[in-house]
Amino acid sequence: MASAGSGDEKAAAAAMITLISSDNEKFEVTEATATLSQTIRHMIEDGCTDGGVPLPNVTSKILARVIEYCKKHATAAAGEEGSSSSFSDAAFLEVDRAFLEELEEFDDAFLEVDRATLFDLILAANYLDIKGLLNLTCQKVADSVKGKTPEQIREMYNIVNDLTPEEEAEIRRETQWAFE
Amino acid sequence: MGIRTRRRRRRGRSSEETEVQETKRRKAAESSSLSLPDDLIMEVLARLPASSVARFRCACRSWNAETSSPAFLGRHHALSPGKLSFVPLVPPHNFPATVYIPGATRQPPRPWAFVCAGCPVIVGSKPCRGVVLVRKLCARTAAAVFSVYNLTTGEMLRLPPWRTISPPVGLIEGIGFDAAAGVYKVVRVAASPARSFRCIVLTLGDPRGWRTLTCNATTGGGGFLGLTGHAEIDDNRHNAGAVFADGCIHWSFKTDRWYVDKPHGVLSFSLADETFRRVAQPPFATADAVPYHGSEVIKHSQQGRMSESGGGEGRGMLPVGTTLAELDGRLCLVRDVRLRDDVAGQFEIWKLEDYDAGTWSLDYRVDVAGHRAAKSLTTSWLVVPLRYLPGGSLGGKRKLLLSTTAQAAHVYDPDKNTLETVASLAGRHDVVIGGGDGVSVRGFDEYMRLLLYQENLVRFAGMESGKKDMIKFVKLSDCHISDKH
Repeated sequence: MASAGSGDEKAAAAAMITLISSDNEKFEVTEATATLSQTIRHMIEDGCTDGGVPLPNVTSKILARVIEYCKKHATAAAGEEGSSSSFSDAAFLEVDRAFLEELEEFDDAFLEVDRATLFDLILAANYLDIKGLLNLTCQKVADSVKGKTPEQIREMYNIVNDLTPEEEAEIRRETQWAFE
Repeated sequence: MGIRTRRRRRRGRSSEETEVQETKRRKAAESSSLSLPDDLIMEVLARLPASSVARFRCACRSWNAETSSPAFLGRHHALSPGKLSFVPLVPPHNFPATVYIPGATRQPPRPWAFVCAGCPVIVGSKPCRGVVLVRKLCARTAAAVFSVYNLTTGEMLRLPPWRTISPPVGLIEGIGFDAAAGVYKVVRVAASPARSFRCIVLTLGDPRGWRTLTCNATTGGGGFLGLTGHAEIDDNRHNAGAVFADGCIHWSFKTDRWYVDKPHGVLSFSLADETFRRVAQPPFATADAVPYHGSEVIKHSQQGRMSESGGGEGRGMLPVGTTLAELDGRLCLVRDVRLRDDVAGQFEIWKLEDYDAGTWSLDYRVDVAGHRAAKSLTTSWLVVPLRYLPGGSLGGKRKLLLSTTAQAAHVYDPDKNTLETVASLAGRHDVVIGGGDGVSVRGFDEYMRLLLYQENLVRFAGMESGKKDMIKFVKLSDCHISDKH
């Protein structure tokens, strides 16, 4: 994991940011990790991160997970930036490929959470504007419901069917191909 | 998720909340945080396969309304992974001719698909945002009738007829998407025997129907953008035909239909402005455009002027030269250098940088020399680039998904110098294609074409469902092309 090591070294020299969860727990992270969140990136750009960044929408439990994700992916982003010409060496490419596979394994393991935590991660990713995490978590929910019938999806998520029988019949007629 | 009656979690909580309130909130969240705000529910639904979205429309009223909105349709289409499917290029004709591919002595001759007048044909090499334009000749009047077919839903829209062209000479057509207005448009250009041009446009869903364009193409003494009577617009069925890119539909043309080494160009129609312009091809395009006869490989140095029709003895010609294509939304030109000994590799991909200046830049090179799978590229009639894929490593070179007229799709990886076959009809003798003239041929996979498309749930007023018999898919189970690493 050559690229991971160099990423950490680079980051260590950079400034640290303190994130404060809704239950007042403080997390110290590198700027490279924190700026995966566009929300925090803008705060840093505006120079309003002194004394810590309060995140009243995110609990310590969820923030810890989000930081775990950002740390891993910040390393990947750092590798991508310093790329191009230096990546022509075949041996280095192999290392790189292994790292990408590791990143995918990390994402899979990261998503092994209960539904409530998954939804909290979606809310946090949306609030903090972390595109990769939002995509990952929304896709996970989508994958878990894609084979369901309308009845099953209503039951799973307590959705009240407010369509009249006529309206529902009309929609089903239009989307007949999807039920085949 | 998705319960409107439940209280949403607010975004901008004040940080001065007391510990007690916070604990309460957390407890409530733990027991019932199975709800998401509407915009995030739509983010989840936009990542579902189209068939799941369609089924969930009858979950409740708000889901139906929101998943039918243009904004959602666009987002869902953009997030859909690429899908590969085989569709018949044209149904088989009674009299298939054969072509011989140079260097492929052990291969049986390939059948050559004649265009049968009664058969539906897909216009262009790629779907435009999930839909294709289908042309068919009316058995009674011999006029071309068009329909737009949604590859995802199987729904079809018959376009109104346009009767004023008779006889139909030199017709080209294409479909494109005007992103600013959010509408699809179909454009047709017709040339009378006297080489006077007419152009009509139809905005899908517009009750006005076909509109005749009075634009720079048809007015002025210079004829169609200055094309002479010897010009010919390329409408080769096996070729790329109309290519949608950069918000324009493109066709390639020759300035002289009898002599292939006269300058070539690109005709471009802007969907937003509804105007035409000519774009110059790179200088090599003309020099390259010399066909090869049968199995004789004519070296570049020996190339002379040859008539396109001089094949003789039923032999075909390898279409060395250039083909238009779309990659990453941009207009590209594929330079076929397989038979050139003075240029490295098999294919070059050139990207149009500037329409006005007509400048092109070399964007990509396919070189599989020495690779054991190279034969599948060197012996195919045509190779069509479909999509760039991210490199297999951080900072690695882009991969290229391409399809060949040998009915296979491969991913080319320039870093590893490999060619991985991701879809193939070779050896699949279960494929049955019903012919327009009543013949059905088993295992005749030469008539199939690979289409890469992204799902789109778009509907137009007047669409009919249940027309799946018009275009038959050959289902391939594991052919989802992902933009993931």
